[in-house]
Amino acid sequence: MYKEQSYSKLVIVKFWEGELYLEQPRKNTLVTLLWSFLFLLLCLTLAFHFLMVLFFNSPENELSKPYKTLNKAYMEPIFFQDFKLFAPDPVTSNQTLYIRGTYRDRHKNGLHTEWINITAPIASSIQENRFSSQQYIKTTVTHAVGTMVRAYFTDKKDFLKRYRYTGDVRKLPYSMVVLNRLGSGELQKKYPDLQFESMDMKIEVERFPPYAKRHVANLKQTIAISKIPFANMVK
Amino acid sequence: MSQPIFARIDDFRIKASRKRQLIGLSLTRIGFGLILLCFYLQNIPQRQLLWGPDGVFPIEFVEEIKQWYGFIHLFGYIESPALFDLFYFLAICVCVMYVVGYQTRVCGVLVFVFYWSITHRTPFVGNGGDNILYLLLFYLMFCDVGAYFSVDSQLKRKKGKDPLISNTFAGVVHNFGLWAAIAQFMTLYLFSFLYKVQGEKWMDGTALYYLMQVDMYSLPVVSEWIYTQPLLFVTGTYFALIFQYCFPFMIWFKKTKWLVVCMAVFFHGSIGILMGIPMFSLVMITADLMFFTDEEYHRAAAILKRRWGKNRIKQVIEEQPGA
Repeated sequence: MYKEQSYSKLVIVKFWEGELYLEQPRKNTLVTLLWSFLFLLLCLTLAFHFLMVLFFNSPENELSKPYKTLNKAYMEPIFFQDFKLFAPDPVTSNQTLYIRGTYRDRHKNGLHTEWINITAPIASSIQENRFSSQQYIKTTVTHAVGTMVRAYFTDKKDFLKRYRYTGDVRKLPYSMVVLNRLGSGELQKKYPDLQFESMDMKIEVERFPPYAKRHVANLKQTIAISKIPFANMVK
Repeated sequence: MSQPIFARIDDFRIKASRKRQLIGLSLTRIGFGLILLCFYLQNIPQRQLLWGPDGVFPIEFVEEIKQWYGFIHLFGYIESPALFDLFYFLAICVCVMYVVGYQTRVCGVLVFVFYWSITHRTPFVGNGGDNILYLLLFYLMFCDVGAYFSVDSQLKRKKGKDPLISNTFAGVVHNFGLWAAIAQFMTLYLFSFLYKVQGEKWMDGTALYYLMQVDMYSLPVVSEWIYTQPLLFVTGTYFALIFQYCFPFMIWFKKTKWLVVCMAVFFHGSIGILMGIPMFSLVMITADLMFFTDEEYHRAAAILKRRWGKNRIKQVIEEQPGA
């Protein structure tokens, strides 16, 4: 049984099976005052911190709006958090990434490789082994492709403007940079002898129908981006 | 009632300074350390591609992020692949020290710094499991996670010191670190539930129907069986919602604590196996260890000792010649 007794000098707490845990004897006034100050400080710090956490995680509301700048400055980057976790709606489509490279043969003719499916081998590897080393490649591809697909279906005109290569790779969105370099690496692995000039990317979005219409074929759409600069990943 | 106010504050101080959940936090330390070790070892073949200076997110792009925040993570300053490898393998060594509980305080800080740095090195690489893990590692820096099952506690005992006793200031900081970790964990469940109930597909019970068809989150044969059976995908969808809603409440009561932790193991285990997100599942299951008090662990150990003790005696008797 757990039992606590308090004496003027010593506190003894007895655990199950009689294990003894000795507390510090009572200290002097100064220690108590310092401890009380620390306790209050920790209470205030914790209260402030979790108020910021609640504001950061909540959708913007009239209570958190005035503190948006402070909230963002405090929470990012150390305490950044996003717990939507397949919410408010889960993923409802397969998003497959394909890439192909453009190179010149010895007669200087521009040629393309075949389309390489980046997503399928990753998915197969993880289906065979849940602890596959492809786990974080999968996360990278899934998130980057998902970002591009959302951008495309939110505002197609803006997508075509932002994701078009205009001569400076630094002006491309980060999702494009990451997929570009990943794709370039895959092309170099598959065709080590070819000198690529550029690459093309396409994302096939295959939407699942609602359960009531499950016998209807999945709806397929393609997002294509051409002439992305090739990144030499082999140094 | 006649007791002076100061004596009452002193009583409160003694109670509030007693370190809580020492066994649970030590087990959590070991669990998180092993998960991190698995993370680093699993990604050795991909480390340069994912986080190296010439990988998918080159170092020159990291400069932009540095301008936004005024500072950057550790790996943002590393421009050489060889130096990156040095820090990567140093992170593995620190993880091992954290697991065995040697220089736990220092290693706790280093483990957080390395892990937070690597998860922020490249956009799109992290997931929900990484997010909650580095947040919990931050709070655990303030806790005494080396009181049990550690080299530090053994070394203290050899020097004649009791590893469970510490000063009153360290005790209150430890408890606040624990409460912050618990509050953060509750926040995850709370907001995960609140966002889900806003989604039509969660409310009509078809969320799992869609998820099980996504190649990246499915398991052949099993997923197809689930998304073709309304009983399975509707039950699974609503179970996810009910569990995430109930956990923050049921975990506080002795009678429901063990039940909700079993539900958590089942829920997160299913996510890890079916959806192929083992990291997130292991982090969430491991974090449940910090909810049990030291008394509960002692009680469980006593029950196991009695049962194991009985079986061992029976085994020894049976092994005797002529038994």
